[in-house]
Amino acid sequence: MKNTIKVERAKQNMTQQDLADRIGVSRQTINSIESQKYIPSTVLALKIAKIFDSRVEEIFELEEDDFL
Amino acid sequence: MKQSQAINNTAAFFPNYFKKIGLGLILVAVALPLSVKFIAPEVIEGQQEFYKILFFNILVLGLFFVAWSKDKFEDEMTMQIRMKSIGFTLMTSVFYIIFRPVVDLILQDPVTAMTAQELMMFILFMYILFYKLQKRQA
Repeated sequence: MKNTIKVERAKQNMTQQDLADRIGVSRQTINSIESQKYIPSTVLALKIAKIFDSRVEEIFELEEDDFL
Repeated sequence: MKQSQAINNTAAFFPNYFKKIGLGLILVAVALPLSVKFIAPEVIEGQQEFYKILFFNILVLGLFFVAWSKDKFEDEMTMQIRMKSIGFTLMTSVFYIIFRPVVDLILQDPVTAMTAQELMMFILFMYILFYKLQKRQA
């Protein structure tokens, strides 16, 4: 699952730690999500979308292999 | 940093300071029998079995405190890593129990019975190892 968290963070001039603090997870978790090593829960995905004032689908996008 | 309420409400884990208590217990369980053995072996004379069980139990308790206490920061990713580690540990323990007697036979050692403490130490040690490795890779 692709995501645009890094881009959205850059637009808002936000560090990984800032985002982590605002949604109550560790910086390591944000890094893992950005590098697609960890897929967040629905609650966390919704929190991230809310921080960036976007819809979840605008931040997270399914890839071909997610359907396999 | 404010942590998720769902994670904070996880009563199943000990607080973070239990890691230090656990490490202290491990140190006691390793250092004390060794120093007694070399400095004053007459203290445990005739009661080796009792002291062996006692120190193994302290070691198991120490490992349990280290394994089952919260990290400084717990979130859903650490919970997922814990679940994966428990799965890996279960699998490794089953293979360990099945294949250890075979290895004993291959090495032409007598097949010895495994004590509960030995198995529990293996389980806790593997869990800590898998958890640390996976967390480092995350």
